[in-house]
Amino acid sequence: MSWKERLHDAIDPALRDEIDTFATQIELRRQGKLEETVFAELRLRRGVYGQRYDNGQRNDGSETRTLHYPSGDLTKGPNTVWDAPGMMRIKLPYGALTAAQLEALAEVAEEYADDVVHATTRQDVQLHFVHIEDTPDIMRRLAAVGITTREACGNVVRNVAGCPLAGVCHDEAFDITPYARACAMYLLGHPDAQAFGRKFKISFSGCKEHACGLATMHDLGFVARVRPRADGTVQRVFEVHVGGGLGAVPHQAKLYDEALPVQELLPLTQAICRVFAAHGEKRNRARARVKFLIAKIGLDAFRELVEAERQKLAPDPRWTAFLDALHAHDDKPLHAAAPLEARALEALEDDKAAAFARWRSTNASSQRQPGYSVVTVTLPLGDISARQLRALASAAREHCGDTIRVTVEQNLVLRWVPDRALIALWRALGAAGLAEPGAGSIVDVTSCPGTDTCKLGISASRGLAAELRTQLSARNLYLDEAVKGLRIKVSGCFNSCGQHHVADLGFYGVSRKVGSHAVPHFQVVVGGQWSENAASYGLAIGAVPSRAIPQAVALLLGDFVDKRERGERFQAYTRRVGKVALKASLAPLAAVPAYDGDRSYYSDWADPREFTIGDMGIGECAGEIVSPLEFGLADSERVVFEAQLALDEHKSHSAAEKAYRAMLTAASALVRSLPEGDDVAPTASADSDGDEGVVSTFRARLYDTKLFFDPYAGGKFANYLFRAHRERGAVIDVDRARQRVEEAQLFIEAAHACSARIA
Amino acid sequence: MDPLLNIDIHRDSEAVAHPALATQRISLALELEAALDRDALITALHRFIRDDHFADEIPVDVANYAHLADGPQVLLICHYGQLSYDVEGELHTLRWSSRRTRQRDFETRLRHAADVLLRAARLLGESDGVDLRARQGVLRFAIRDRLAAPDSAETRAAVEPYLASLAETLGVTLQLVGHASSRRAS
Ligand code: SF4
Repeated sequence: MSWKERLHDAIDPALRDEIDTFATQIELRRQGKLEETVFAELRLRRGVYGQRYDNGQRNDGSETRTLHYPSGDLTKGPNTVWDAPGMMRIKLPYGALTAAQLEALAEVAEEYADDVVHATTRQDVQLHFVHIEDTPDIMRRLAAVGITTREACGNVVRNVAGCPLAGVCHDEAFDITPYARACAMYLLGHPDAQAFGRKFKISFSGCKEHACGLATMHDLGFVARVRPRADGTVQRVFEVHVGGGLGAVPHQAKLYDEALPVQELLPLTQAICRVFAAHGEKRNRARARVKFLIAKIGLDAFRELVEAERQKLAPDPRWTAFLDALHAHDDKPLHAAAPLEARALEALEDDKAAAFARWRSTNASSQRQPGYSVVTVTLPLGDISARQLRALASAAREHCGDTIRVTVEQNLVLRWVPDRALIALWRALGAAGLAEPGAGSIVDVTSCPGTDTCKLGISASRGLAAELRTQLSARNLYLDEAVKGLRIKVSGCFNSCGQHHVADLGFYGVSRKVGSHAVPHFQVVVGGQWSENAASYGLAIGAVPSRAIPQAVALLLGDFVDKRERGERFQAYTRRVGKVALKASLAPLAAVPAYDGDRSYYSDWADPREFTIGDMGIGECAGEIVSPLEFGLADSERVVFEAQLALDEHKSHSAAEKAYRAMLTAASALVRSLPEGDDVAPTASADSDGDEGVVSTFRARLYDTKLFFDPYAGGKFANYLFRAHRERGAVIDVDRARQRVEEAQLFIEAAHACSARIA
Repeated sequence: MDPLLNIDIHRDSEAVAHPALATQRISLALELEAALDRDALITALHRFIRDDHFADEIPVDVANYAHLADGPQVLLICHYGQLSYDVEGELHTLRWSSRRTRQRDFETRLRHAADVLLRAARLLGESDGVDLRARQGVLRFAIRDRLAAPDSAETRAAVEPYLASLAETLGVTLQLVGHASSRRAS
């Protein structure tokens, strides 16, 4: 008996056929009858993703070695070995889960992965170290409990995110759950959403003030509002935002519609999908998100296209059918509301009472419905073991039923917990090691997978997050109140999956060359705003060695506590003090001890191997002498920092110009470092002939030769320079200036990486 | 000579036919007397990869979950299985879980799993900072395959002769301590 036979009647027939088809595609690929790029996109659309080292190469700290899998040359995508373990992303619309689903996740994690389920910042969950041939059975077992992995990855509509507190929140305009659900169901496999050049992310928020749904940093974000009618009733509408996104260059979404009637939710979304499919960039992945389309043609032209599409759409009964059954999928409270009795609290021993109070203050909050609480289960780094999942399922069954949701901060919430059950639930969670306090506080550090499992990771974001978590937890009791509520978010690279742009303190991984060695660093990003749906993004103030980041955090927090004005919040403080002073305060930490003095700087957190980027070893170079190239790159960092300052002073034109000049400086330094390059590489200067020379030489010697190409992003970063060069003299608005500053930062990072390759 | 190479297994035809005996997912674990230092373990496992200690299992990477209060702490991920240091309440174990195997039958799969586990324990015991002390005479067994080996009397009957034989070879006695597919030889 196979899982296919065993679960035949338990799976929706359409889903069953899809999974069987995928199993056949696996077999065809094994036999070489399906082209690898086609198979790669097919598996991505099923949530079957690559993972670090899946090219069959791994650096062991001294050399890059081939992993000799039995599958030999067979691949599951370009440069992706068949037998190499991969990641499986499991899509959970608005993060919703039932107890049975938790148990199914536990079982597949135990049997096919590494015993752990990982919650992501987009309310998905992931399994790591999965073999491609096990994926159809994983899908079947999940499908049997109502979960699909379909379109969890690939150039499609990704998981539809939504507030985890929807329906129970005090501040929401209305419960967005049925709307998010209808949107997710409608678009899943929809023909109008299959021909995108890139992924498309949608999110729903119940209010504007809080960040639970992060609506304005999505490709398409809906914020619930109510509008009074003349007859005294209210109308439900959505504020619609388009073209937001973090990624390498973050974009704030643009307001598309202030008050979209809910009846128009699905047709408008469909029309936007059609416009994105028809007009979005297809060839250049780096500029294929909808934010680039809107930036290119402007919001008004985008709106015209969408409205024209909307007019063409033939009415579909599903657009409004769900409105007649808005409450069909509401949570059903398992128990009647009941207060937490004073005598139950009094019965706790002193130490237990203090621990419970501490946990309750951060991890339980009252629902809009009196007598019920929402409980947050803090998952360190978003991880939960199979055993813990089973314990949580059993606690949910006992206390609140199928009311579980994943949050964008990589935690889980249990809703509809009667207040009376809080102590019992806390005990049950505690027995499973799940009653850690501090949800939503500074110790609840968010992190992307980084170098642990992500192919693009540069530095160990999880290692750093774990270290910060440990150090801050030890001090949490003594931390100043002003600091406790701050958010720290870490990404392993500039791609921002850890959402570092919207944290009070964000970090993203970069590499620096010190002498002949690569040293893991993190760029420090300050001033991002988490509230108001992530209303503004922070900017990098400089790179600090990975080892020194905990000191940098302590220093920045200490200064904040000492120097803040009465009632001043961190974001306002960073604005007042200014980036120059903040950067200066970190300067002493930027120094890297000599290789023979302190080797710890040359490896990353929780990874004793000597640090390297990619599988390429760092070659011999000129000892400890600082090369002109290193000087040039340092100079480019100075210029880009000045660009950031200009941006802060609302000098868009100056910021854009400096960002361009920073790229030119780095480009010039690189070109001049090439053998026999001095005679052909002019220095970046204020004179435009010189600029032309730098750009054309850079193009000829580093772009056309692909020397500057990133292994994954190709020529993307070079194009930032070419574009800025083309735009010389053009009027630059504040959005474009900000993007250019971000682009310049990335260009310089690429120049650092290129310099290591050249060396 | 390694005693594991001389396992004498008696089986009846009914046992051979049981699907549990076709499973690839055999898990064997040693109970540890004390917690392991996670950092030292991570370093040792990276070194295992570098020094080709488990080349046959095709080691891929070291996974770190030391932040979990209950569950795997540190794993050596291999193509053919996973070596993990695991914490469950007060219970600390070193486990080898096979995932895909090259061995044809249950007997050799079980024997191989025990061999890998004991070899790993021995090597870790010799590694800097990894103070590995296993409880003598105790081995935990599980099949992580709910399709082939459901928690039932039939599964238990199918695997018991093999476990008994392994227990005898290792000089321990078989004792049921949990559900049918997770038991302890002590
Ligand atoms: S931010 Fe970078 S390292 Fe982190 S998951 Fe995204 S791509 Fe990978």
